[in-house]
Amino acid sequence: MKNLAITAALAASLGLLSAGVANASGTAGSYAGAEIVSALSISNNVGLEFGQIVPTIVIGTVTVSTAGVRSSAGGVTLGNGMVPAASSFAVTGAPSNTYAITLPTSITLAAAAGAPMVVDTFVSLPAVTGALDVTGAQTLLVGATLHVGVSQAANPYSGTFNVTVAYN
Amino acid sequence: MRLRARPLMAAATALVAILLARRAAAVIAIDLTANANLGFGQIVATTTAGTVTVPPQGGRTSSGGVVLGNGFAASAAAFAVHGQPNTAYSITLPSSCVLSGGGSSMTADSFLSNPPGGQNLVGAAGTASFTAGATLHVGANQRSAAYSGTYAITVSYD
Repeated sequence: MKNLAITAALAASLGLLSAGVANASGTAGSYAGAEIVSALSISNNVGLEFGQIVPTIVIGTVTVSTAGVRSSAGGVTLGNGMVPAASSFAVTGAPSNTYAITLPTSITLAAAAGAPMVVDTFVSLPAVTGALDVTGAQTLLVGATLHVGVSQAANPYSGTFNVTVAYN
Repeated sequence: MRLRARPLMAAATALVAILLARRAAAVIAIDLTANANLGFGQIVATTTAGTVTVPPQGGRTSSGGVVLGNGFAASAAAFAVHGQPNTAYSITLPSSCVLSGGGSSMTADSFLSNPPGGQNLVGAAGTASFTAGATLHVGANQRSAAYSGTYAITVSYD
């Protein structure tokens, strides 16, 4: 009789045990996401153009702003045979990303004859950090300052410069 | 013989009582809720494969040939546990999970949780929480797309 009672009690406890095991764990599903985006690229659409400049016996500078507005300082006179322009770049990449802009410190413009001219004080719009729009695009404008020497030889001068963009 | 049998029966009864008491203490089911998704954020694939790791503490690191985009923040997953107060529980993490998008897929593995998997305690209020992270494997020239996948995490009483 007593053995039977104990067996019954054990059976009851086993029933409770299995019920306890059923409640002893919980699982949650969760979502994992990632977005693979295109690499950052930059291409030049408009070159930096300082326009026509008349040198004098005094050195001077010609500055083109990021808005393409030209100004001079010192002994240079601005000619008007050509339209000055800020350089324009198309930057494309991951939507809504920011990126760092690196401008050159200085470059030189050379001609077939005559001393080269130095271009420095590069500025950009946006400056330092750009932000791509929701389509992953932004226009980057660059201006700079040209140093014109004393009686700089009359010639077309040209040079190249690099603008670097990188995700930051 | 009869004199020796009685203490044995008494011991068996006591054992049943102890078992009943232990199980009675854990009758509140343990329940897990996902509160925040695991987000690896924006990633720029290159010609070299790489990985992006979101640790359970948050933040993000990369290795190999991937560049981290920054259009939106990466995030560790967050979970809430409800169960029997002051009861130990363990976390079982998946071994891996597949993220699909744009006809391509990537695998996330090396899941980690904070606190780690074993010997955690449901608090006095009957709640606990933990965060989870993992490592995403990005292929060379991984196709540009939004990728997503699901994984399961299980909690159980120790």
